[in-house]
Amino acid sequence: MTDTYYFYIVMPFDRPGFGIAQDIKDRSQKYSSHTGKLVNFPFIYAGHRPHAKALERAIKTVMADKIWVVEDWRTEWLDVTLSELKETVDTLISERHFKLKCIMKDYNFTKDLSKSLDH
Amino acid sequence: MNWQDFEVPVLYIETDNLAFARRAFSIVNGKGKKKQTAYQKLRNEVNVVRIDGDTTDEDEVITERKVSIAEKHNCYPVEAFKYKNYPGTFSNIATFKTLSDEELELACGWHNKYFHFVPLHVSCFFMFRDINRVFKSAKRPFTDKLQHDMASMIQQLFGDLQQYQESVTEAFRKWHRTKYEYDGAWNDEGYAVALLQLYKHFGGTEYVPASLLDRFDDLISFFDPAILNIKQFDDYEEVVRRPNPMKNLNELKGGIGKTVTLLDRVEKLEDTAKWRKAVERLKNEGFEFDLNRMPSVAQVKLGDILIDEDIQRTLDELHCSNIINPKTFDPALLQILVCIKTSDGKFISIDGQHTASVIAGLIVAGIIHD
Repeated sequence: MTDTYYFYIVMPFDRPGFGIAQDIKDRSQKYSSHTGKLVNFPFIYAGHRPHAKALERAIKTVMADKIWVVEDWRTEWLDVTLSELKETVDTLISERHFKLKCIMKDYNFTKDLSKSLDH
Repeated sequence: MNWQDFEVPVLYIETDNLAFARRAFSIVNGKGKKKQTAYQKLRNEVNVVRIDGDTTDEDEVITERKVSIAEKHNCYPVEAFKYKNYPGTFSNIATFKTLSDEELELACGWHNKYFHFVPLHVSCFFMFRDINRVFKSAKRPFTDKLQHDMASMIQQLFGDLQQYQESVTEAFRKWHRTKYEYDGAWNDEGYAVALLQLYKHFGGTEYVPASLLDRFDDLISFFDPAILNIKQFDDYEEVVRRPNPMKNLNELKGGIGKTVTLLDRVEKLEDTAKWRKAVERLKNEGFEFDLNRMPSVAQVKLGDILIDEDIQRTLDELHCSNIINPKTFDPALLQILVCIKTSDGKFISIDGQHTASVIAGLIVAGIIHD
């Protein structure tokens, strides 16, 4: 089992969301399957698994009041721009010393992950 | 004075339907009733001391002192649904209260020094309580170096205590299933034991009492390989300290000093989609509010009140004895009895039989007299 874990930002329509995955290709396929179009992950980060999970939770906490709410129903999407979310992610990684770094932009499962920013 | 002639205030509903009385008993005794939360109880204890300056109750004074220790370290008890995302907040009041002053100084001080940017996770209370007690028994110091190394491990291996909690409970689940072949309930002692076992696994040199290491034998081998494969954890790295909004939002700092009319509540309800939908459903069902069904209040003689033992619980004599504890007993706090009034004029108790029994008993004992 690989120790690498991924944190991704996703934006199939108007609002960004985020998540974590061990198999990023599989996750990309599922988003595309649900939405009926190729869904790009604008930014993918990779690194230490517990830190990816801690980052995901930290975003939920610091952006709790930015969650897109329809009537009283809290969705899994954020009412912010992509760049606002990206800035929050980068700030959290930097300030809290999470061992994660951005490895790829605009990924979907048809692209080769090995051609990431790291390679 | 004859206890049977003594009148008490009774809230009653006129009905001959005993099924209604039985359901009403369930409702007033829990089902359908919003209970006071642990935070609300704590808030009242603190406000009695801070706002009213009343220090006659030792338990309230102790609670206020504990809250002061937490606040000194930028830690704040909060209601579970309110402010829980702000740094330093915690909502597990029950565990907070189990810590001594010294343990709270350690736990809150450590949180504020190293993890001031996140809410205070309850595992912090369990760890510092358990570790401090064992070190005291062993008559060895719980050193600053060990506390610093614990922070380094939490930050570098897990990110924060909440992630540590997720990792350790998952390891415990796998360990228990492997060892005992069934899923066992989480044991809060595991927070301290697993972290200190990991500390020794990574070559930590500070003294740790053996009794903190020899429990749950090989628990740490069930941690995520992503953690165990690390050769050595790095030293703690400082995190930028930002102003904590709780300094101004803390409702325990002398209360919030605000009283509102019911109009405020009505407006809040009307702003809530769930409330609007509930009202709509009531209308669609054709519900008619019958004003005659609303309860009435009357002064009723104790001798005229009946207790249906198929509805009410049996008398709890110990509970009655506790009610008249001279430290807390106050006639102003006696609850109003709740009864149904049948068409033949009988008052059958739904709630408050212990109060009624205490009053009658005190008249017989000569405590209540003319």
